[in-house]
Amino acid sequence: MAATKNGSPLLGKYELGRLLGRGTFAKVYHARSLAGGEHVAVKLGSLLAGQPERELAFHAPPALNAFDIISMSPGLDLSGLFGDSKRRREKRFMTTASPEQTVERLGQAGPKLGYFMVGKKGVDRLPLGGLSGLVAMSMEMSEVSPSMMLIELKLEGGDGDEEFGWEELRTELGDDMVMAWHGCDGKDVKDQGILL
Amino acid sequence: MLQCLEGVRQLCGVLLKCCDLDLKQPRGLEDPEVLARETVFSVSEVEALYELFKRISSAVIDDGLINKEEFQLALFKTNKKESLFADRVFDLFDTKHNGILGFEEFARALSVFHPNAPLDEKIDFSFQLYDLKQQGFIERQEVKQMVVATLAESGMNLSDDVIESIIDKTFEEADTKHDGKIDKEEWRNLVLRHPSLLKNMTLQYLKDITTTFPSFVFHSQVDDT
Repeated sequence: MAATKNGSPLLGKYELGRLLGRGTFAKVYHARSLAGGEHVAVKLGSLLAGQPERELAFHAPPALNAFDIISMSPGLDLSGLFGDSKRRREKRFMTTASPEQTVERLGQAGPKLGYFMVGKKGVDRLPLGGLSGLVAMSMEMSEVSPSMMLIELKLEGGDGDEEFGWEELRTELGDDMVMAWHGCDGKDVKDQGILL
Repeated sequence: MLQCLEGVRQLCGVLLKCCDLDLKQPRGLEDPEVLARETVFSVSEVEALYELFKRISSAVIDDGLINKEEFQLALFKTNKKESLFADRVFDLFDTKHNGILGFEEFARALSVFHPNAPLDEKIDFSFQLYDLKQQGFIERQEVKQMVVATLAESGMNLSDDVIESIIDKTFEEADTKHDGKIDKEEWRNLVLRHPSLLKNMTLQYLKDITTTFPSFVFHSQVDDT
């Protein structure tokens, strides 16, 4: 097994750290990339499941900088001057769920609400006109505190004419996942004051 | 006889009105070439920008100038919204400090937001934006004030501890001189490491402005660079 803490780096690229979690067929470890020193989460498929050990590393959400938060202010978003509907195509929320849980639930809600998740790089490969009837949605995760993440959702492509059902998405994600939901006018916020 | 005079008077009236229109038309846009030279906009972009300016500046008082209320209206679609940041932006646009924006101030300020504007201008503008008390440096207290204001605006609350911790980490990274403040140089370094901090400083719309706001002013020689 390549999951040795002492000595040989995993796949020659990662230094394995502590176990973060485990599922039926895989374990997730905290790891450090030997190249850039960045912290990642590495999921190792168990050999017992008959699958070769596959590296499914994805980056741990970067920590949020105070100025990141400040730059989210609608008062600093001058695109409103152009009569734009940008705010209808973006939403953010805070969650204490894990990155995997969040990705999973967002993925599950997709078919119901008419969107599919794309990674940031996936945007370049969108077929012209997208997939019929479905909108592409990208997601960005940032760490607010060790147990809380900020998720930013953005609708990519499409013509922005159709109103996306953000409220339905919020309901689908569930109250256990959505700690605080970004209300554009600060009006439609259900759970205020989530304290740690 | 009297009818003749009446007719002449009416004719004069119409002519005068025409003249009036001609005189009023280029007000605020006497010389788009000047602005085009001194900003990052092309002449046709300046003209298109002027169309946008006219729309915004006539929302409340049709005087060819944007006041704070019209600015808020344009940004938020409501004039009821008070925003610390919109105020800062307005103040920075208002280089003459007279509480209103003329087209020149409008165009020069927006030039900084053009995708082609030099990075240094964006860095400068954002630094001044966040330097609430205009002391030449950004203090920790100002950062906290802005973070709290932003969270309140979007209805997302965080505990004071979490906020303090985030600000701590930010200053740890940014305040390389360890004096409790972020000066222009430290800001510059921070932004070069985290380009996403300047994402508000670029408006892609400015590139397409000639299609969004077509202007119908015809020039005999238009130099489209």
